[in-house]
Amino acid sequence: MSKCFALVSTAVALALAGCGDASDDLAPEARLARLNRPNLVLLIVDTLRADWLEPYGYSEPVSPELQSWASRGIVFERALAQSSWTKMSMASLFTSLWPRTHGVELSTDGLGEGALLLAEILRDAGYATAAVQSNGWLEQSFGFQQGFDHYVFPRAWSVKQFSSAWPHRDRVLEEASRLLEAHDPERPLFLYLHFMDVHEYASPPEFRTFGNHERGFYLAAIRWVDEALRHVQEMLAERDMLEDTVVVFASDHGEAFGENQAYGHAYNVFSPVLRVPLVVKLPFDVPARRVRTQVRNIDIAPTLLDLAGVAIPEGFEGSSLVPLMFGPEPEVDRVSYASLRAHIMLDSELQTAVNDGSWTLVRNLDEDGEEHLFDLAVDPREDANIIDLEPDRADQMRKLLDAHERTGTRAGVNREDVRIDPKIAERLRAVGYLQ
Amino acid sequence: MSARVLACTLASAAVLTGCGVDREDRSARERFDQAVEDRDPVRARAAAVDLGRELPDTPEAVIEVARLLSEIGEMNRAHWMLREARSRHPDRVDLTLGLAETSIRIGDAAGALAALEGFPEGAQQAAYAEVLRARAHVELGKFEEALAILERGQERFEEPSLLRLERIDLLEDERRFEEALSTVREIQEDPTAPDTMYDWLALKEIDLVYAAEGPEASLALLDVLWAEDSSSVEVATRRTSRLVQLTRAPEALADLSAALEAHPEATGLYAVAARAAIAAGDLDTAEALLRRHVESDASAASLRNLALFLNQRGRSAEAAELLADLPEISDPAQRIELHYLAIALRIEAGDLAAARHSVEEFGREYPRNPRLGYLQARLDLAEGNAEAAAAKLSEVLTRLDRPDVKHLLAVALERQGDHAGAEVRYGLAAQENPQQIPSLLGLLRTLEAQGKWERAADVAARVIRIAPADPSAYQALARAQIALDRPDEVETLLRGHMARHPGLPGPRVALSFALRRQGRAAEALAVLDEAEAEQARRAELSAERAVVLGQLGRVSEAFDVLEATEAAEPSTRALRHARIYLLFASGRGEEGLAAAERAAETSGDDPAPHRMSADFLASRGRFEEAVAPYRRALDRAADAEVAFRLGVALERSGRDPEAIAAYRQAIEIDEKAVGPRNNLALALSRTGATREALEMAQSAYARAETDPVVMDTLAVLYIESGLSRRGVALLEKARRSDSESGEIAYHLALAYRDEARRDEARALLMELDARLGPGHALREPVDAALASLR
Repeated sequence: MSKCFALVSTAVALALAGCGDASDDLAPEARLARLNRPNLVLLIVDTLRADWLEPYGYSEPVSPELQSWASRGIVFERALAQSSWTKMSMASLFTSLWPRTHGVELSTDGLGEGALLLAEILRDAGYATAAVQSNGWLEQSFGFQQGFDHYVFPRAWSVKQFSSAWPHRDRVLEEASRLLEAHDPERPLFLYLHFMDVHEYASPPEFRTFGNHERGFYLAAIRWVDEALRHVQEMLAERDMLEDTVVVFASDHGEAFGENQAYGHAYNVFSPVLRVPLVVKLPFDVPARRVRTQVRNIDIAPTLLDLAGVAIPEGFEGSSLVPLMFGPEPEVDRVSYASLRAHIMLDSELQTAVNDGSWTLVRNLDEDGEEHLFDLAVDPREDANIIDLEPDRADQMRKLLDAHERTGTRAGVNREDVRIDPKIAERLRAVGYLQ
Repeated sequence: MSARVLACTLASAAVLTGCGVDREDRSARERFDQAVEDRDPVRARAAAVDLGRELPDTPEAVIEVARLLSEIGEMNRAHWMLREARSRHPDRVDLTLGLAETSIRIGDAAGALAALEGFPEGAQQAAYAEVLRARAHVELGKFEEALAILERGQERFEEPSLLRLERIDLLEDERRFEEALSTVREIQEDPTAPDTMYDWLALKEIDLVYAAEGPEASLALLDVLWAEDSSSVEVATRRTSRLVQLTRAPEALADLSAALEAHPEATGLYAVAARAAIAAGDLDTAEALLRRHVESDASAASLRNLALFLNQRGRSAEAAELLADLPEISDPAQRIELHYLAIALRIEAGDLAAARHSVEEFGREYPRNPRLGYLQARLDLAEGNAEAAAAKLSEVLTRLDRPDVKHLLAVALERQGDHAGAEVRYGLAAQENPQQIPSLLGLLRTLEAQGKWERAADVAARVIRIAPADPSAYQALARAQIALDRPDEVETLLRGHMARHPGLPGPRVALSFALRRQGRAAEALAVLDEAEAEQARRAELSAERAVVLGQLGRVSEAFDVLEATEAAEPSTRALRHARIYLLFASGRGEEGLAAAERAAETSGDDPAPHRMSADFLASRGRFEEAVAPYRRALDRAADAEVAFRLGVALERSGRDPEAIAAYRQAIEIDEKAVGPRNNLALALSRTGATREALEMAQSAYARAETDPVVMDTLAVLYIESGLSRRGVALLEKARRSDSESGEIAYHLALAYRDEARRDEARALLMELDARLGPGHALREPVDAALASLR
C-alpha cells in the first residue's frame, strides 16, 4: 500500500511539476519564437557613448542597472549610429533608412507624410503607441510624432520666480507612468522614451562623484539616467507588463572628448562619436549574450517589428537583429554608413563615411574633399589617417562609399523648410545649437 | 506684453475661475502660498504635488489647482488633472479649454485638437477655442493653416479681438512684421474695437515698426506719442532706447529733464533719465537724478537703482549705508530683494562683521528663502572659506539656478584650485548672461591655468568685443596667441591697444615680450623706449627692459636697470625673474640657482623660479637634479610644457615609470600636446606595452601628421606590431619630409633589411656611415647594421 502510495505521489509530483510554465524549460531561441505581440519599449539616451558604460568595459560604476540588464540580456558590442546629430540619426532609426535615403539633413528638414515610421507600422498592426521625449530636434513639427497616439514633450516651463526642474529624467518617467496608467492592457504597447540628461551633463549633486570636471559631470549624468532603467522596470512590473515586454536600450549618437580633436557631437562622423550602446532585454532572462558582429541603428526598427511579429517593409534598409541574438554569428560585419551634411554647429565638418567593421573611410564634403582611412584593428579611435599608406584598401572603401553616395533620396520622406518654432529655437540654442 | 498675455487676460479669467478648493486641500494650499512668498521652489513644488495628488471634487477646484500647478511649471501635472476631470465632466467647456491649452504646452498638439473637436460654436469661449486650435496647428508646423483659422474666426465672431491679437503674435513670431502691422492698424481703425486695447496697440505698432524698419522709423511714431504725453514711462523708455541707439543720448536726457519739470509726479521718469545720462557719459547727472528719485519716492525700485549705481562706481560702502534703514515696503518680494541687496553690498564693501549680523537677521526673518544659503556662501568666500562656500552653493544651485550663483560657485572652486570645475561654472554663468564680464574673465583665468590656449584666445577676443576698455583681456589674448605661436596677430592687436590706452604699461610689456620671442629684441627695446618717463620707471617695464637688454647681450646695462628699479621700488616677481634669467644667461649658473631659491622663498606660490632652475640644470645635462624643481613648478601651476620637460628629465635619468606618469600628466593638462604623446609612446614601447604605445603614437600622428619625428615613432611601432609594409611606407614619407634625419634613415634601413630589400638598406646605411662622426649616438648601431648585411 505504501509503495503504491509512493508511486502515485511521485506521479502526482511529476504531474504537478509539469503544470508550471512549460516555456521556462525551452531554449531562449524557442522562447523568443513564441513571443506573441509583446509590448515594446525603446529607451533612447541622447548623447551616450558606449565605451563609458560597464557592459562595454568601463571600469567605474556608472551603469550598474544596465550592467544588470546586460548580464541577463543581449549586448551588441559594436553598434553604430548613422549620424552624430540627433535629428538625422533618429530619422534613420525610425525609418530604417540611411541618411542618404531619407534626406533629412538640414535644421529645417523634417519627416514628411511619405516617411514610413516604426510607430505608424506598429499602430496599423494594432499597437497602442506613445512617446515621451524632450529634444527640440524631435519636436512634433519635424514630423517625428507620426504614428504615435501620444507624443508628449514635457517642456521645462519657466516662470519668472522658479526655474523648472532639472534634470529631465524624472519628468520623462512621470509622463511615462501616466501613459502606462492610461494604457489599455488589451492592446500591446509601443513606448518610446528619450532622455536628455546626458546630453546636458545634468544630474543631482549627490550623483556627482566622478570628479568636478566635464568628464565627471558626463559620467554623473550617465549614472543618473542609468537609475531610470530600474524605475522603468518597476513601472512595468507594477502593471504586470514586465513578462510581456521587450526593452531596447540605445542611443542616437555618442560624445567626443578629444577624439579627432573634437568635443561634443555634431562636428563630424568619425566612428568614436557614432559608437553607441545597444542592449536588448527580453521578457525572460537569458545567459549573458554578447554579439560581436557590427550592427547599425537602422536595424532597430526591423528588429522591433520582427519581435512583434509584424512584417518588415521591403523598403527598410536595415535588417532584423533577431537572427544574431542566439546561434552562431555571421563572419561578415554589417556595413554602416553615416553622414553629417549641414553646419549644425558653427564648425561642423560636413562628412560622409563608410565603416565595414574593419576599416573606415571618411570623406569631407567640402571643396577639398579630404579623405581619411582608418584601420580599426589597431586604431579604433580613428586617430591615424593612413589614406596615403594603404592605397589599395582606400580604393576598395571608396568604391563602397561612391556606390552609396550615388543612391538617391527617396521621394516624400523628407519635408523641407519646416518652420522652427521660436520657443523651440530658444531651447535648441540653450543646449548649444543654432549659434 | 505679448498679445497672448493680453488675450489670456481678456479670456482666461472666465476659464480658470473659481476658488472651490476643498477643506482638506487648505493646508497644502497654505503651504504652497507660504512657499511662493518665501520664493522657495522646492517647497512650492512639494505643496503643489500634494494639492494635485488627488483630483479635487469640483471642476472649479480642478481649474484652480491646475492654475497653481501651471504657475510653478508643473504643466504636465496640470494637464493630466484636467484630462481626468474632463473625462468625468465632458460638457464643461472650461475644462475642455484648460485641457487644450495644457496639451499644447506639453507638446501634445494633436491631443489639443482632439480635445477641441465638437466644441460648441455658440459657447461664450468659442473664440478662444479657435485661438487654441490655431496654436495647435502652429505647433504641428502648419502655420498657414493656423492663420487661416484665425481669419475665418475673425469673420465668424462679433468680437474678434482675441483672434486678431493672436494673429499679431503669430506674425510677429514669424518675423512677418509688415503683416502684423497691417493687423494692428486694422484694429486701430475699427470703431468697434475695445478702448482698452488702444494704448497697447499704439506701443505694439511702435515695436513692429522698429522691427520692420529700424529705430528711426519707430522714433517718428514715438515722437508723436511723446508730444501727446511726456509723462508716460513706457513711451519714455522706448524713446530713450531709440535715441541712445542713434547716439542721441544727450537729446534724450534733455527731453526727459524737461518732462520731469513739467510732470514732477511722473517719478518713473527718473530712472529712464538716469539711463540716458549714463549713456551720454554724464555719471554725475545720473547720480543726481537717481537721488532725486529716492527723495521724491523712496520706493524699493528707486533705492535699488541708486544703490546699484553707487556700487558700480566702486562706492559699495555708501550703497550699503543707503539701504541700512529700509523703508516700510509692503510687497514681500520687494522687501526680500532689498534686504538681500543690502547684505550683498556690505560684503562688497568689506564690512563683514555687519554683513554677518545682517545675514543672521535675514535668516531669522526668512529661514527658508534660498537666497539665505547664497548670502552665507558669499560671506564664507569673503572670509576665506572657499570650501564651505562651494559646498553651500552646490546645494543652493538646485533651488536658485541663476548665473550669479553659478559665478560665485566658480569663484569658490577657483580659490580651491579646481580650475576645471571653475571653468565649467564660469562658462555656464557666461552662457546665461553673455554680458557678464567677471564671469568671462574668470573663465579666461581658468583656461590659462589649464593651458587651454585656443579657447582662452576665443574668450579673450569675446571680452574685447564686449568691453574694449578692459586691459586684462588684451594681455590674456596676447599670452594665448604667444602660446599658440601666432606672433603677428599679437603685434597688431597690442599696438592697437597701446594707441587706445597709452597710460597702461601692460600692453607695452606684452608687445615687447611678443617681439623678443620672435627674436626681434631690438624692436622690443624700441617699444619700451617709447614709454613715457613715468611709465618707464614702473617695475613691469623695468623688468622687461632688463630681459631684453640681456637678450641683446647688454648684460651689464640690464643689471644696472634692475638695481636702479629695486632701489626705488619694492621688488616684484617680474624683477626677480629678470635677475634669475640674467644670471643664467650670463653664465653665472650657481648664482642663478641661489637667486631662484631666494625668489621661491619670497613668493611661495610662484612656479617660475623653480622652472627656470630646472631648465638651467637640464640644459647642463644635470637631469636628475632638474627633477625636483620641475616637480615644484608643477605643484604650483599646471603647465603641460613643464610636465613634458619633467618627463624628459626623468627619462634621461633612467626613471621610465615616473617619466610615463609625467607625460600622461602633460597630456591631461593640454590634450593637444604632441611631444608628450610621442615620448610616451616610446616609453611605453620600452616597457612592453606595445598596444598602448601604438595608440599613443597614433594619437600624436593625428595631431601632427607632418612631423617627421612623430612619423618615425609611429612607423617603428607599426613595424613592431607586425605592420611592416605600412611602417616602411610611413618611414619613406618621413624621410621625404626630413632627409637629413639620421634616426629616420637608420630606422628605414632596418625596415628595408627586414623586408629583404637589402640593397636599399645598404645604400641608406652607407650614406649614414659617410655622414656620421665617430662619437655620434648612431655610430655603433649603423656599424652593426652594416655588418649584418655583409
